[in-house]
Amino acid sequence: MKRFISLCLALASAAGAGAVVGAVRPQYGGTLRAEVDAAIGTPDPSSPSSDPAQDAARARIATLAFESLTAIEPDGLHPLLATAWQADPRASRWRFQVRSGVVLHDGTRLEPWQVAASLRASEPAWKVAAEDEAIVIETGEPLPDLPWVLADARHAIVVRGAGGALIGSGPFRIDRVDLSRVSFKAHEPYWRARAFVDAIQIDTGRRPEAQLADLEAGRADIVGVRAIDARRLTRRGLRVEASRPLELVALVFEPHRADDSALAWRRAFAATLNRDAMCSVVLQGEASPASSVLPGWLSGYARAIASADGPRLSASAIGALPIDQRTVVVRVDPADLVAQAIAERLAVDAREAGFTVKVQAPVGLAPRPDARLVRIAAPATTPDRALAQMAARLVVRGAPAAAAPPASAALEATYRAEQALLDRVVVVPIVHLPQLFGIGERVGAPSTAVARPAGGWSLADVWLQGGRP
Amino acid sequence: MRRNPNGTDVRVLSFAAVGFHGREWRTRLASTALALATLSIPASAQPTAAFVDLAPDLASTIADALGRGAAANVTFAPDEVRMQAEVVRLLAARGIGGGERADAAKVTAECSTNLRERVCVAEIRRGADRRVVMITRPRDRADDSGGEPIVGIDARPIYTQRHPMLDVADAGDRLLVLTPDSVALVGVDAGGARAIASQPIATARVWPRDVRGRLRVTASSYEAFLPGVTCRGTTAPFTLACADESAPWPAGGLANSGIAPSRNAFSTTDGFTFYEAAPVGSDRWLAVGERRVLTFVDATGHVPAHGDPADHAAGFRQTCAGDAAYVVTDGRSSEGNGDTLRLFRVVDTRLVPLPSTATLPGTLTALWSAAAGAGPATAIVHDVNAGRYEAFHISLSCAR
Repeated sequence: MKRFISLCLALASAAGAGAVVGAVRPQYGGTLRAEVDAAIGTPDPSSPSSDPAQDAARARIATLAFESLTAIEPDGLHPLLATAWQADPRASRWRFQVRSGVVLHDGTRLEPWQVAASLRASEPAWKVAAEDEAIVIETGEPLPDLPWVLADARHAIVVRGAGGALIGSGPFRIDRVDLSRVSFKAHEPYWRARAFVDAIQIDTGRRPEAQLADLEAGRADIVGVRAIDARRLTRRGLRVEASRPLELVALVFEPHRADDSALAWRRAFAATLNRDAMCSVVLQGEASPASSVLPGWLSGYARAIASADGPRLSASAIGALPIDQRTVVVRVDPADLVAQAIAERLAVDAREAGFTVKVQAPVGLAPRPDARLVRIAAPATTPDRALAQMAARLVVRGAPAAAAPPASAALEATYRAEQALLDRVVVVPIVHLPQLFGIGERVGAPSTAVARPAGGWSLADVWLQGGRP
Repeated sequence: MRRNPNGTDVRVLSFAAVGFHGREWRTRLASTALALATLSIPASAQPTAAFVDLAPDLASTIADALGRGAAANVTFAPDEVRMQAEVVRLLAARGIGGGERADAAKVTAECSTNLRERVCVAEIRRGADRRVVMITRPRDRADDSGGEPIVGIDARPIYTQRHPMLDVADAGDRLLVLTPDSVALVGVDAGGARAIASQPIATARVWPRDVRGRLRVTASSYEAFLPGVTCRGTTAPFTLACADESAPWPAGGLANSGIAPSRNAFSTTDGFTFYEAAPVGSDRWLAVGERRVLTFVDATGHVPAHGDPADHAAGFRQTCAGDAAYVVTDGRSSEGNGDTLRLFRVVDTRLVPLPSTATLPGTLTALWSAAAGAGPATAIVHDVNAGRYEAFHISLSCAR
């Protein structure tokens, strides 16, 4: 479990790291051009959305301007706008010490009452009040993981200025928001030191193919990259950076294939998956085989998850099935080429075992599928919170409801909940994917990676070659 | 959790108000270099001792799941041998052992972390029964920074000459250099090293083809040990007198009867033949035995080590790593013609490789451990291409 990523992902990361050479003094200045595929509408991190992709893109962009009280890093929870915290024995009344000396984008100092107001707006159920240099949060119910909850982008501290202006404390201030572009300027008195670049412009709603073309043509400096495109960039000498695994690709059987009478059938089908080949060939070494919902670095127990062992149909039994039982229609998102590539590989593997898989990427009405290939974000947080969020998304995508671990559950309870989710083989994990970023030639050899291990960007540390000294 | 004076538990997580002033590019670049170096470290060499404090709880949990009188075959990942050894030891103390028994449960365990805690998980299989137990400990940054120390090999050149050297020893502010023919007193100053005086080794013996020699300095006197010959002298005035007699050599503290006149190996009192001995703890050594087999030697006997064979071994007791024992052995460098020193941590009878090596400029001809591993070892290297012999002090550096 300590080696949470597979060999192929490790090698890919190392290869990427190998490109990071040359100790060059960073330069200040210039405008960084980045692109994301989702349209974000508003950069307000507390703005509700029903689209997970939009949420993710907004969270990524919002961190440029807005900061939370806490931050999640690969080694755990860190203080950010809070410097310390403590709770009463019930963990329902918390006191967070607010960092002093933080200058907001409007030039004023961040005050505890502003922090309290922001949190009341993002979480109306809480009672939040300023108290000296701290804020006090009463959650009602015990919430032992509140510091982890507050690291979410939606709980970032947003001060609402005159005319609805969004004022934050992050390394960049919002300069302009257009339909397809959000522009930022460097926040000079940023409390963690000014960013290298003068400005950032982020084009939103850019299709993956367009992002790839823009990066290759030098029209963009940082873009999102699909695993299936990673090798194309590295062959051109461009860097690809990866986070830790932050997304699950799984097969979810539809209700008519999900009853107990089909358990041996599902086990037989699941056993045909060649995850290593998907990882190394289809996903070009930028993924890790998954047998669990949570990636190992988020759970710590991934290898203890039992695979789909148990009685399963033999090859001869599969061959004797009626044709409709041997044919499996797998539905994928027509716009998702990664899922389609995985499904096509899945079809090849299943065919060898006697199944016939039809990959269905419907743009209109289509026959009822037997299973869906789904992609679920794995949030970098505590195991119980991550599993609860992923399980909820799986249910939305057709998985049967499973008992979620209780909030702030002990790890063993989370493990049992995850094992129970997988025991019936209705949800079949396939691979874990990281967030991938393509880095353009203008981006100087970074002293820190652009891709944060726990997800998102680290653009304050990025500098551009050719910027003014 | 902290306990209030009134006895109630209060969950407290507090952090120093440390600023994140983060544009110091040199520091960042150094960090990047370190990160890249870390990426290049073999996975098997990842430090795992950060979990050893969880071993008692894990062993207790496994024991409870197994029940009294049970037998278990416990395995961890290959890079967790220290943890495995500790858990096996603790289980044995609870009367659970016997991995060779037919009814032994198969226990597969592993330790890891998530963002919140450190985790050790054990899967217990007994026949068709499967059970998973786990224990956790909150993760904090003190754990991360205070875990396994970073230990590296330092090779410091101390003397070079064109003629063969057998050993070099400090004698105050000077060096004693032992060759097959003489003992030289060498002064070292800003201008370099130069021989001040030399005393011939007067003997009628013909040296074996692989002649070996050892120096031992005590205050102003010294001894030179050669096969079948023992010499004694003083550094001020510089004297030397040799006699055809065999005497025990200083071989890392392992008792021996010296090297026979026409041989190149030592023998212990119970007849065990060895070439070099590395102290790895109190009254325990890792010896280079016949056919290059590394063998642990203590009062109970001789046990082959789990590790690659080697021609040389030196032992160290590194204070910054607690009571852990480390050894350096030799291997052929993949680049150039020089030998490579490799570092291992001694865990039970296993040698756990650590990601530190030192490449030498030639062939290692001798590696002498300090008594009880309390100081630097002395390495003698023959650089064939440059046509010279070089002496090095080999020590370990340590950081957390």
